Amino acid sequence: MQRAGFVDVAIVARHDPFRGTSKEKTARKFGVEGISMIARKPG
Amino acid sequence: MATSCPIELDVDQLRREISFIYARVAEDPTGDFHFHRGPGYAVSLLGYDAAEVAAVPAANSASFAGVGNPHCVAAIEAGETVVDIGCGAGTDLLLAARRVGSRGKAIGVDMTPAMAERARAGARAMGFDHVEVRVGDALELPVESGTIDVVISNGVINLTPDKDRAYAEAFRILKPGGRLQLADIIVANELSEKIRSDIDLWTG
Repeated sequence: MQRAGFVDVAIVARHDPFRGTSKEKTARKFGVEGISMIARKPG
Repeated sequence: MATSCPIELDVDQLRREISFIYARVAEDPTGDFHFHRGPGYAVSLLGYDAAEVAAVPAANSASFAGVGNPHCVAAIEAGETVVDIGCGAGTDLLLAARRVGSRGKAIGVDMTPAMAERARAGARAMGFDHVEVRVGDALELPVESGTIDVVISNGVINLTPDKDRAYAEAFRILKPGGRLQLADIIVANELSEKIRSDIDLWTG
Protein backbone atom coordinates (compact mmCIF):
# COMPACT_ATOMS: atom_id res chain seq x y z
CA MET A 1 0.00 0.00 0.00
CA GLN A 2 2.83 2.37 0.80
CA ARG A 3 4.48 1.49 -2.54
CA ALA A 4 1.27 2.69 -4.20
CA GLY A 5 1.62 6.03 -2.40
CA PHE A 6 -0.73 5.59 0.54
CA VAL A 7 0.15 7.16 3.89
CA ASP A 8 -1.19 6.80 7.44
CA VAL A 9 -1.69 3.07 6.89
CA ALA A 10 -3.12 1.46 10.03
CA ILE A 11 -4.83 -1.76 11.02
CA VAL A 12 -7.89 -0.79 13.05
CA ALA A 13 -9.49 -4.16 13.84
CA ARG A 14 -8.68 -7.86 13.61
CA HIS A 15 -11.22 -10.60 12.91
CA ASP A 16 -11.48 -14.39 12.87
CA PRO A 17 -13.56 -15.01 9.72
CA PHE A 18 -12.73 -18.70 9.46
CA ARG A 19 -13.84 -19.57 13.00
CA GLY A 20 -16.24 -22.51 12.83
CA THR A 21 -15.64 -23.24 9.14
CA SER A 22 -14.15 -26.38 7.62
CA LYS A 23 -11.02 -24.33 6.84
CA GLU A 24 -10.44 -23.12 10.42
CA LYS A 25 -7.58 -25.55 11.00
CA THR A 26 -5.87 -24.54 7.72
CA ALA A 27 -6.30 -20.86 8.57
CA ARG A 28 -4.68 -21.39 11.98
CA LYS A 29 -1.82 -23.37 10.44
CA PHE A 30 -0.95 -20.57 8.03
CA GLY A 31 -1.65 -17.70 10.44
CA VAL A 32 -4.57 -16.34 8.40
CA GLU A 33 -6.68 -13.61 9.95
CA GLY A 34 -9.08 -10.91 8.84
CA ILE A 35 -8.17 -7.27 9.26
CA SER A 36 -9.90 -3.94 8.78
CA MET A 37 -7.57 -1.10 7.95
CA ILE A 38 -7.39 2.46 6.74
CA ALA A 39 -4.98 4.35 4.51
CA ARG A 40 -5.01 7.83 3.02
CA LYS A 41 -3.99 9.36 -0.29
CA PRO A 42 -1.86 12.43 0.45
CA GLY A 43 -3.60 15.64 -0.37
CA MET B 1 -6.47 -8.31 -20.00
CA ALA B 2 -2.79 -8.61 -19.24
CA THR B 3 -1.93 -9.02 -15.60
CA SER B 4 1.33 -9.78 -13.90
CA CYS B 5 1.83 -12.15 -11.02
CA PRO B 6 4.90 -12.68 -8.83
CA ILE B 7 4.52 -16.49 -8.87
CA GLU B 8 3.74 -19.19 -11.38
CA LEU B 9 -0.05 -19.08 -11.52
CA ASP B 10 -2.63 -19.41 -14.25
CA VAL B 11 -4.25 -16.00 -13.82
CA ASP B 12 -7.05 -16.72 -16.27
CA GLN B 13 -7.89 -19.96 -14.47
CA LEU B 14 -7.89 -18.11 -11.16
CA ARG B 15 -10.26 -15.51 -12.61
CA ARG B 16 -12.60 -18.26 -13.88
CA GLU B 17 -12.57 -20.08 -10.53
CA ILE B 18 -13.34 -16.90 -8.60
CA SER B 19 -16.18 -15.98 -10.98
CA PHE B 20 -17.61 -19.50 -10.72
CA ILE B 21 -17.52 -19.66 -6.93
CA TYR B 22 -18.96 -16.20 -6.35
CA ALA B 23 -21.66 -16.69 -8.98
CA ARG B 24 -22.68 -19.76 -6.95
CA VAL B 25 -22.70 -17.64 -3.79
CA ALA B 26 -25.01 -15.15 -5.54
CA GLU B 27 -27.34 -17.82 -6.83
CA ASP B 28 -27.43 -20.12 -3.80
CA PRO B 29 -25.81 -18.64 -0.68
CA THR B 30 -27.05 -21.60 1.39
CA GLY B 31 -24.91 -23.97 -0.69
CA ASP B 32 -21.86 -25.84 0.54
CA PHE B 33 -18.95 -23.41 0.90
CA HIS B 34 -16.00 -23.41 3.26
CA PHE B 35 -16.43 -19.77 4.23
CA HIS B 36 -19.19 -18.05 6.18
CA ARG B 37 -21.95 -16.09 4.50
CA GLY B 38 -24.88 -14.01 5.57
CA PRO B 39 -26.00 -11.23 7.89
CA GLY B 40 -25.68 -13.23 11.12
CA TYR B 41 -22.01 -13.85 10.38
CA ALA B 42 -21.46 -10.16 9.57
CA VAL B 43 -22.89 -9.12 12.94
CA SER B 44 -21.53 -11.86 15.18
CA LEU B 45 -17.98 -12.27 13.87
CA LEU B 46 -17.22 -9.00 12.08
CA GLY B 47 -18.93 -6.40 14.26
CA TYR B 48 -21.46 -5.02 11.79
CA ASP B 49 -24.34 -3.01 13.23
CA ALA B 50 -27.31 -5.38 13.43
CA ALA B 51 -29.93 -2.72 12.67
CA GLU B 52 -28.04 -1.41 9.64
CA VAL B 53 -27.56 -4.91 8.23
CA ALA B 54 -31.23 -5.70 8.84
CA ALA B 55 -32.14 -2.81 6.52
CA VAL B 56 -30.35 -4.53 3.62
CA PRO B 57 -32.63 -6.85 1.61
CA ALA B 58 -32.15 -10.48 2.60
CA ALA B 59 -31.48 -11.40 -1.03
CA ASN B 60 -28.34 -9.28 -0.79
CA SER B 61 -27.14 -9.86 2.75
CA ALA B 62 -27.54 -13.65 2.42
CA SER B 63 -24.64 -13.62 -0.06
CA PHE B 64 -22.39 -11.46 2.11
CA ALA B 65 -18.98 -13.17 2.28
CA GLY B 66 -16.65 -10.47 3.61
CA VAL B 67 -13.73 -11.11 5.95
CA GLY B 68 -13.71 -7.85 7.91
CA ASN B 69 -15.60 -4.59 8.30
CA PRO B 70 -14.59 -1.54 6.22
CA HIS B 71 -17.28 0.54 7.96
CA CYS B 72 -15.70 0.17 11.40
CA VAL B 73 -12.44 1.95 10.56
CA ALA B 74 -13.85 5.43 9.80
CA ALA B 75 -17.24 7.01 9.27
CA ILE B 76 -18.48 7.39 5.71
CA GLU B 77 -20.06 10.84 5.56
CA ALA B 78 -23.15 12.22 3.84
CA GLY B 79 -22.40 13.55 0.38
CA GLU B 80 -19.27 11.47 -0.19
CA THR B 81 -18.63 9.38 -3.29
CA VAL B 82 -17.71 5.79 -2.49
CA VAL B 83 -16.43 2.95 -4.63
CA ASP B 84 -16.75 -0.64 -3.42
CA ILE B 85 -14.15 -2.83 -5.16
CA GLY B 86 -15.61 -6.31 -5.57
CA CYS B 87 -19.01 -5.30 -4.25
CA GLY B 88 -20.45 -8.79 -4.61
CA ALA B 89 -24.17 -8.93 -3.90
CA GLY B 90 -23.93 -5.45 -2.43
CA THR B 91 -24.18 -5.52 1.36
CA ASP B 92 -21.25 -3.13 1.95
CA LEU B 93 -22.23 -1.04 -1.08
CA LEU B 94 -25.80 -0.58 0.17
CA LEU B 95 -24.61 0.25 3.69
CA ALA B 96 -22.30 2.89 2.18
CA ALA B 97 -25.13 4.20 -0.03
CA ARG B 98 -27.30 4.66 3.03
CA ARG B 99 -24.56 6.66 4.74
CA VAL B 100 -23.69 8.95 1.82
CA GLY B 101 -27.36 9.65 1.16
CA SER B 102 -28.89 11.08 -1.98
CA ARG B 103 -26.31 13.92 -2.14
CA GLY B 104 -23.56 11.33 -2.44
CA LYS B 105 -22.95 8.39 -4.72
CA ALA B 106 -22.07 4.72 -4.23
CA ILE B 107 -20.44 2.86 -7.10
CA GLY B 108 -19.97 -0.89 -6.96
CA VAL B 109 -17.50 -2.75 -9.16
CA ASP B 110 -17.64 -6.53 -9.49
CA MET B 111 -16.23 -8.98 -12.02
CA THR B 112 -19.18 -11.37 -11.63
CA PRO B 113 -22.24 -10.25 -13.65
CA ALA B 114 -24.59 -12.27 -11.41
CA MET B 115 -23.31 -10.45 -8.33
CA ALA B 116 -23.51 -7.06 -10.05
CA GLU B 117 -27.13 -7.69 -11.01
CA ARG B 118 -27.96 -8.78 -7.48
CA ALA B 119 -26.46 -5.56 -6.11
CA ARG B 120 -28.45 -3.45 -8.62
CA ALA B 121 -31.65 -5.21 -7.57
CA GLY B 122 -30.86 -4.47 -3.93
CA ALA B 123 -30.39 -0.78 -4.69
CA ARG B 124 -33.74 -0.71 -6.48
CA ALA B 125 -35.40 -2.49 -3.56
CA MET B 126 -34.02 0.13 -1.15
CA GLY B 127 -35.12 2.99 -3.41
CA PHE B 128 -31.57 4.17 -4.02
CA ASP B 129 -31.04 6.02 -7.27
CA HIS B 130 -27.56 7.16 -6.25
CA VAL B 131 -26.12 3.63 -6.62
CA GLU B 132 -24.41 2.42 -9.77
CA VAL B 133 -22.90 -1.02 -10.29
CA ARG B 134 -20.29 -1.62 -12.99
CA VAL B 135 -18.88 -4.95 -14.15
CA GLY B 136 -15.12 -4.66 -13.95
CA ASP B 137 -11.88 -5.78 -12.43
CA ALA B 138 -9.95 -4.60 -9.39
CA LEU B 139 -6.84 -4.41 -11.56
CA GLU B 140 -8.43 -2.06 -14.10
CA LEU B 141 -11.19 -0.16 -12.32
CA PRO B 142 -13.82 1.40 -14.61
CA VAL B 143 -13.66 4.65 -12.63
CA GLU B 144 -12.24 8.04 -13.55
CA SER B 145 -9.01 9.10 -11.82
CA GLY B 146 -9.15 11.40 -8.80
CA THR B 147 -12.93 11.43 -8.38
CA ILE B 148 -13.60 9.29 -5.29
CA ASP B 149 -13.68 10.22 -1.59
CA VAL B 150 -13.65 6.70 -0.13
CA VAL B 151 -12.69 3.32 -1.57
CA ILE B 152 -13.95 0.32 0.35
CA SER B 153 -13.30 -3.35 -0.28
CA ASN B 154 -13.94 -6.50 1.69
CA GLY B 155 -12.17 -9.79 1.05
CA VAL B 156 -11.30 -9.05 -2.56
CA ILE B 157 -7.72 -7.79 -2.88
CA ASN B 158 -6.43 -11.11 -1.50
CA LEU B 159 -8.01 -12.79 -4.53
CA THR B 160 -6.13 -10.63 -7.03
CA PRO B 161 -2.87 -11.98 -8.46
CA ASP B 162 -1.23 -8.53 -8.45
CA LYS B 163 -1.80 -6.68 -5.17
CA ASP B 164 0.51 -3.80 -6.11
CA ARG B 165 -1.60 -3.05 -9.15
CA ALA B 166 -4.85 -3.34 -7.16
CA TYR B 167 -3.58 -0.80 -4.60
CA ALA B 168 -2.31 1.45 -7.42
CA GLU B 169 -5.77 1.41 -8.97
CA ALA B 170 -7.44 2.33 -5.66
CA PHE B 171 -4.89 5.14 -5.27
CA ARG B 172 -5.53 6.36 -8.82
CA ILE B 173 -9.28 6.82 -8.43
CA LEU B 174 -9.12 8.54 -5.02
CA LYS B 175 -9.16 12.30 -4.69
CA PRO B 176 -6.19 13.83 -2.82
CA GLY B 177 -6.93 13.22 0.86
CA GLY B 178 -9.26 10.33 0.02
CA ARG B 179 -9.44 7.20 2.16
CA LEU B 180 -9.02 3.51 1.51
CA GLN B 181 -11.10 1.55 4.04
CA LEU B 182 -10.05 -2.01 3.45
CA ALA B 183 -11.02 -5.34 4.97
CA ASP B 184 -9.08 -8.38 3.88
CA ILE B 185 -7.14 -11.39 5.05
CA ILE B 186 -3.47 -11.44 5.84
CA VAL B 187 -1.15 -14.40 6.26
CA ALA B 188 1.37 -14.28 9.10
CA ASN B 189 3.45 -17.25 8.00
CA GLU B 190 5.70 -17.48 4.97
CA LEU B 191 4.05 -19.75 2.39
CA SER B 192 5.85 -22.07 0.03
CA GLU B 193 5.60 -21.47 -3.72
CA LYS B 194 3.61 -24.72 -4.01
CA ILE B 195 0.98 -23.44 -1.58
CA ARG B 196 0.90 -19.98 -3.21
CA SER B 197 0.29 -21.62 -6.59
CA ASP B 198 -2.66 -23.70 -5.34
CA ILE B 199 -5.78 -22.08 -6.80
CA ASP B 200 -8.04 -23.98 -4.39
CA LEU B 201 -6.34 -22.19 -1.50
CA TRP B 202 -6.59 -18.80 -3.26
CA THR B 203 -10.32 -19.18 -3.75
CA GLY B 204 -10.91 -20.67 -0.31
